[in-house]
Amino acid sequence: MIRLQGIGLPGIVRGKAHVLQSRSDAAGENRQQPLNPEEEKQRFEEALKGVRAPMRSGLEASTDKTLRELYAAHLEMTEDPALVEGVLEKIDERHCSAEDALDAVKEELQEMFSSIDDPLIRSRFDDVRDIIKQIHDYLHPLHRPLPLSNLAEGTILVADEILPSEAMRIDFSKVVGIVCARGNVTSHVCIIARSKGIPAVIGADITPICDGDILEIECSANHGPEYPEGAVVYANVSNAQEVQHALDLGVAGIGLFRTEFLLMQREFVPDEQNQYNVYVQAARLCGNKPLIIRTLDLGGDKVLPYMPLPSEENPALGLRGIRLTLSQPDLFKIQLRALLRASTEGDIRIMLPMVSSLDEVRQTKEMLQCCATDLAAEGVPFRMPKLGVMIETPAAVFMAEELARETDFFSIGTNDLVQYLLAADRGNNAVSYLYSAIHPAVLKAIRMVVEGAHRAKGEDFTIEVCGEAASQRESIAALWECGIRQFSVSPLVLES
Amino acid sequence: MIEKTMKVTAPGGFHVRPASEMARIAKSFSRTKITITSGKKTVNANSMLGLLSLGLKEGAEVVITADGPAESDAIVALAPLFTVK
Repeated sequence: MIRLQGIGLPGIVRGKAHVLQSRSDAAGENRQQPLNPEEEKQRFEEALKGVRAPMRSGLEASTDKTLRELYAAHLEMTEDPALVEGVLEKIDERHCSAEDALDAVKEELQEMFSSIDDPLIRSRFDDVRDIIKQIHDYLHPLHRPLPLSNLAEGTILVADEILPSEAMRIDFSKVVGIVCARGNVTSHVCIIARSKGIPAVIGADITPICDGDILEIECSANHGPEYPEGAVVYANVSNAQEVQHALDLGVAGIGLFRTEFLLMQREFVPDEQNQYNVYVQAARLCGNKPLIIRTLDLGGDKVLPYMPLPSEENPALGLRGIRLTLSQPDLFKIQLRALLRASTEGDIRIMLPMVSSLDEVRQTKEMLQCCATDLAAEGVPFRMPKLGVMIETPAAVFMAEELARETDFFSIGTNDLVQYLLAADRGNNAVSYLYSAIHPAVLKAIRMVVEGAHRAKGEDFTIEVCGEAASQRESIAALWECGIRQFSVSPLVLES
Repeated sequence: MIEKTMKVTAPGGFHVRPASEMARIAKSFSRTKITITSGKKTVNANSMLGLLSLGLKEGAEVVITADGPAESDAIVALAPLFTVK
């Protein structure tokens, strides 16, 4: 039996290890050794579904005629028998991987179109090539979901890493614990495990663990955090049930409502009405307590199975958060419209993640204004909510005064801010010792943010901390010293 | 099984829009196999990509073949697409 120290509710959990193959192994294997034809066909169908979803939502969301036609044509091509049947037949005949079958079909199509000189028809062939590439990207091991079906009762999942989209698919009625080599306490798998009351071990050495080993995870009693008199405690949540749970624990409001999980639980981007319903439900639960909703925070380690993003060499510094949503205005507008409409039902506040420039705030304001004008013209009721930004990049720290002038509140996301300030990834075992939310550089930065905001808007300007630092004894005191009065934490922290 | 031989009279040849429409209609005849032959090449009418790959220019001769419970309906529905302006 292997014993591990975990985080979670105090106690000991015992279960049977189910070791998930790592993605990099799967990639190698995939090239040489395809899975059986049924599984390869299923992978291909999944990938097709995955590339169709954004086309479909694009078609629904866009009003531009040319764009709509393009989406429709692309969708049609993803259903073309020459492509779909072609790949499925190749997998059956050759027992090859979905990738190889796709390449073979691509060559056939190339051959079929080689004699065509009509530029319009050739451009259709270019569309097919584009779609084939999208399917390829989707089949990439990064997007390849771990096999999580058919888990036995009492399983402890062991993996190199579990992506947020996979974490959503875990059947927690069967899983009693999670062990990951990579990730950190703020990884989404941890957040979800915690909300389900399941212990997790992060940063474990998983090499000695074999499939079927009996594991024991022990979590020591965790004394809950203590907040100074006058502190306001909010909760970080991902759905309406958690809102209710947090309110039952007596929080003063929701300091962070993550919206990316709305998308991860589905096969496609939820439309405006769907999003509106979720926000309204949460707003009604909150009554007159504030509900801070963060706009889609994707990219980095958060990817959607149906929205493959180009792989980046350095995702932490890549297209994520507000950068990604501003780059996809059609998608962003759906969310902004839903938020504007839902704001009539409560004290909703919009929060933008990963802000590193004033322009990002201004562009968002313009889009909000534009959505408001549209809604007014359509006669749909709405209210312009307060707008705030997350302070999680060093740029935002230095620009705090200017950002405060443009906005109504700040939320300091210490998880990312600390990693960017100290240039240390907490998930990387070799440098995690450098990661500290009470490093003098971090506290200096937070003080700077508080002073900058106060200079711009006075001492009533709301600044909360919503990272893990807001729930740890040693950092709470330090944050308080810096002038932080609002703390937004996982409801689980408040249970103990 | 029935066959119909005809000439493409659509100016500029058989293009993206009619090909897309033909594929859509052919798909709706799910139990009837419909193929289009031009020269030595035969393709399934339910694939727009297949149809486009024939590269049918104005004046080209095509054979529509339908086999199945709705074969005559299929020919009646599809043939006019080769002659639309």
